[in-house]
Amino acid sequence: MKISFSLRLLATASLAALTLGIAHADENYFGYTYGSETLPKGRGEIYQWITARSGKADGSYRATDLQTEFEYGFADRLQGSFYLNAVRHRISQVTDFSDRDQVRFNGLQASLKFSLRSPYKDGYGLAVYLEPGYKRYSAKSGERVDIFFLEPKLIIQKNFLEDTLVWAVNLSGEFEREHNLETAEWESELELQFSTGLSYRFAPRWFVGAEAVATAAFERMHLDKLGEYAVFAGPNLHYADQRWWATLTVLPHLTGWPKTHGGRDLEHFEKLQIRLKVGLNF
Amino acid sequence: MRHPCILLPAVLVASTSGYAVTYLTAAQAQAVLFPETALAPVARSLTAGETTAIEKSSGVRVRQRELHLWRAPDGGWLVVDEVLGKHEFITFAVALTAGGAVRQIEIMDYRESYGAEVRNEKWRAQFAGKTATAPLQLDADIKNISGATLSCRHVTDGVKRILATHALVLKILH
Repeated sequence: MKISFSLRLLATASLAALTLGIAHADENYFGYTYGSETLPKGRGEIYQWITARSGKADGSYRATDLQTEFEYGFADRLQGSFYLNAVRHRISQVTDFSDRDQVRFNGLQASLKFSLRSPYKDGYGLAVYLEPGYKRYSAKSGERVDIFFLEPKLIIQKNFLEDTLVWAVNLSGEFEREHNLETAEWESELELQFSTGLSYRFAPRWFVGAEAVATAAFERMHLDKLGEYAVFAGPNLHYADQRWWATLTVLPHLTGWPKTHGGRDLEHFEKLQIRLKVGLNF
Repeated sequence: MRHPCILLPAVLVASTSGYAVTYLTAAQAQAVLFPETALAPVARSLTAGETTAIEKSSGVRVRQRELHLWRAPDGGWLVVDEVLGKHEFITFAVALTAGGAVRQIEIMDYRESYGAEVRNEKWRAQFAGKTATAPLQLDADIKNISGATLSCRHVTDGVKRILATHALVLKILH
């Protein structure tokens, strides 16, 4: 029942995206790092995000996050988004994880992004971003939990070479409260993230570059209680057409802590993350 | 969904068709900017020294050394040039007086999804009378259009480059 609901949800969102496929601006040059631009007033966009996370120290682990995002420009400098999420877990014989093969509706979130500086006329781009949300399943294990989170983000963007080279930096903190339904316990966590990306327009409509993401989680929101961290980095490719754009980022796990497998933390993170975003603008 | 990579070939295949709106051909731009005037095409390419001088004077990169020029009987010029849009080139035409002031500009080709407001007549009218000594800066002597900032900035830079080209090269052409 849950599976059919999730698939219906995603199918409906995808169909809506394709049907509404009419045009585009706050396109994402990067899979993980946000740019500082906002949609023009009165314009909208629908994205489909697909993030594949795979590989643990042993067994077979494959998780896929599906996000459908609706974005709208309330003013030329202010945009809002609404997300519907689903997650699929296929886990078999991974130490400390229960075997499962499931697709679940995974809650929703909303966001506001306000642009303070434009990279095209102010020398650099600057935006602030706030995203509250709710998730129903653990991204790592697929266990049923209730997670409430709030994610503020600072977005910096600098363009070079007549705006053909785009560099973006994000600093974000995710304040998270997780309710374990089996133990009825509440846990708090603070996740700090630094991400940066560089993308170059090598041909009309095509950008290629690289992106890096460093994530650190702190137990009970105490900065002296580091739970784990990981650094991912890899290439990205972006294409934009009149009506749509797509971005593909491939991020292998380079290093992490606690080191569980060859310098990486494969207990809390995966060996590889691949994200594809497709945006349709109207 | 076994792996999102399987979607990539479809994305790449679907991407091959371009999208362009041609508002004016070169002949139509001539008719609009110099009505009932016979213009003479002029073949001219910039030398390396001229390119450097134009870039230094305007602060804008010269992307093509070959100029697309037509001369009017009164000494005025029609220049067709391109600037970068977010994804493709924006082709535009600038009509200059014999003294090197902007008479009018027209957007000829626009291929972007957002920012086509630079075709707005009122916005383009801001350039009339500008010469190579004008600042030509957004939010200074040229008003920006919110939501079309990249196009406004690049078209403004393009006009600045053409005015510098006139001051350094065209003005002394015989």
